[in-house]
Amino acid sequence: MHKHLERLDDTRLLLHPHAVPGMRVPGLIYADKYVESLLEQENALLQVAQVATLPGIRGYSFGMPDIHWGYGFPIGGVAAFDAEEGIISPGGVGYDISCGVRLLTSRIPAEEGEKAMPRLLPALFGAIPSGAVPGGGKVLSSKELLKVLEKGALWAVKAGFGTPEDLEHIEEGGILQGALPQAISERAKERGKSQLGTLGSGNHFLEIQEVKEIFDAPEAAKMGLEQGCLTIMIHCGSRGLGHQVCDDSIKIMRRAMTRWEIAVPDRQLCCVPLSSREGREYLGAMRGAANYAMANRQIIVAGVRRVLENFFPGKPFRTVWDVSHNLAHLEKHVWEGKEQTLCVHRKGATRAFEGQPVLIPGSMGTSSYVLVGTKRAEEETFGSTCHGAGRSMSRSKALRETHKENLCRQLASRGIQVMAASPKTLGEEAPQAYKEISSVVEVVHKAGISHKVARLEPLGVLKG
Amino acid sequence: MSWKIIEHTADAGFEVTAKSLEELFLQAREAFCALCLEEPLRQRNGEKASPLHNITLEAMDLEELAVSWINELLFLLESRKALFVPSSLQIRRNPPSLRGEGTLLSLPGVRIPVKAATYGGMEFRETPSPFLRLFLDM
Repeated sequence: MHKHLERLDDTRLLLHPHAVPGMRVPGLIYADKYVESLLEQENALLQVAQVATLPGIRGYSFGMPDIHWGYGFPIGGVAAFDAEEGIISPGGVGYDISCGVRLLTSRIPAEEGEKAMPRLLPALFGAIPSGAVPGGGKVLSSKELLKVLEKGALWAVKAGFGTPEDLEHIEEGGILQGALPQAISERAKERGKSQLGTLGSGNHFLEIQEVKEIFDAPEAAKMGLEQGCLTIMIHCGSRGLGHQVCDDSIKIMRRAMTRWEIAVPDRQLCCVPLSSREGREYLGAMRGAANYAMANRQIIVAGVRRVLENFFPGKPFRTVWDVSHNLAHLEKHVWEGKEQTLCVHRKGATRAFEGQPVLIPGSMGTSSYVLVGTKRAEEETFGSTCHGAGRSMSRSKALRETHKENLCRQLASRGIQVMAASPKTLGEEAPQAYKEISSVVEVVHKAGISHKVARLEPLGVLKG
Repeated sequence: MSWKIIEHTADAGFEVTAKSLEELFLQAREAFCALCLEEPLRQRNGEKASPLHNITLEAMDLEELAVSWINELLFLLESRKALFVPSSLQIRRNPPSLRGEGTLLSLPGVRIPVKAATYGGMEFRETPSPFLRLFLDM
């Protein structure tokens, strides 16, 4: 696959449209030499090429610098499809629908956070259900669950979790219109009814951070980020409900594809025309799961604030932004000189419209970044950028190569306290299992598809 | 043991070989448990198997049946906090279907780091002997 790559500049690689038969558009991968060297390990390039074969794709099949192998679409993949001629694919969204990040900011000096950490971290650990244990969250009646699926974070705020001001700082105001709860299976609803307000496991986390470095003072000021002050970052998604929506949709689409005479090179790329009944139903179900995810993060935020109020009474933690990095949106973009409605799939990729905050979480023990979207992203990547570091090592290898106690000691020596629901997670999520986040961010910054605003360093990490 | 865990950058998977389709699916369950459950699979003190539980699945092909089987086990773990312990398992090829009879072993506090069984990188064949490679989204 590498022989079909052409370096366009320091941050862009073109994947020629003859890399695999049937490619309708080229691939465009954002990569410097470091990221390019990691592409060798993966089949992600093949996946970029295969996505380019799907009907109705416009522009490019994109790979962001955090690209790695995913199911059907690569993680770190972006693809836009014509709303009339194109398809929608659950593989372009992923199992954890609307997995995303919330950032809270404060004017509390980091030293106060560090002093409080020995009690603060256990208090948060006790208040926010985390880990791979099923349930543990707010138990919803069927009626309440329907409201969550329709209203998202708006439901949560109306139910007393957070403030209306939060909604102004969530993508789409915290509610994806057009959700179809009736298109979500009873099985998905059963999985979701006791998981709202829970963090989950794997790479999901809650982090207490310090604003360590400001790159763009005016933008940082707009976002309320002050050097040396505390922030809170939360990374989680739609839990079992979203996983089940994805699984159900794959089954439905595999059957429908025969009728639509769509052939795909990988079963996980199954898709249907967006305009079909199955396409509209998946879009509606996906939006419902996204609303669940946004409500989930909103309820976690409310729980976090209750704990923080005990430590820092009267000092607010405002929402900077909340954004999903696994979602398909219908968006208007100017393409080939005219405005078109496109279904933009971002799987492990973040919306980066001009002026919009972009939240890029690091791995445990490394920095996270706040960026801002750019005009260039709107023109070049349908308003998209990267989403995180991206794994570079398997979980089992990370476990083998990580001594968990040493890891905790190393992190503690750097002033980072860690608590995890499972000791195994600590080893699996060791920083060396991920790409260098700073390199990933540098690529999108230099490429101009998002612009660095601030770097956040962890002080305390709560892992699932 | 006729299964092995295989490494994957982001997730994890397993490969199973068996003499029959039934054994393939039973061994796939063992591999799934090894990946999913942090403690070795055995009945612990105080845990009781519930009354009988049956599983019936239909699919458009045997690949889908294998994915559905693992996802059914996952659903039971997540929603009932229980592991399906089969006493008998029947697989039919045409139309592809599975019928399992057994009990549910209660596993309160079980940790489930798996999101779903997937088709990504999947390989399934019946000859020369049944083989399955399956990846789980973690």
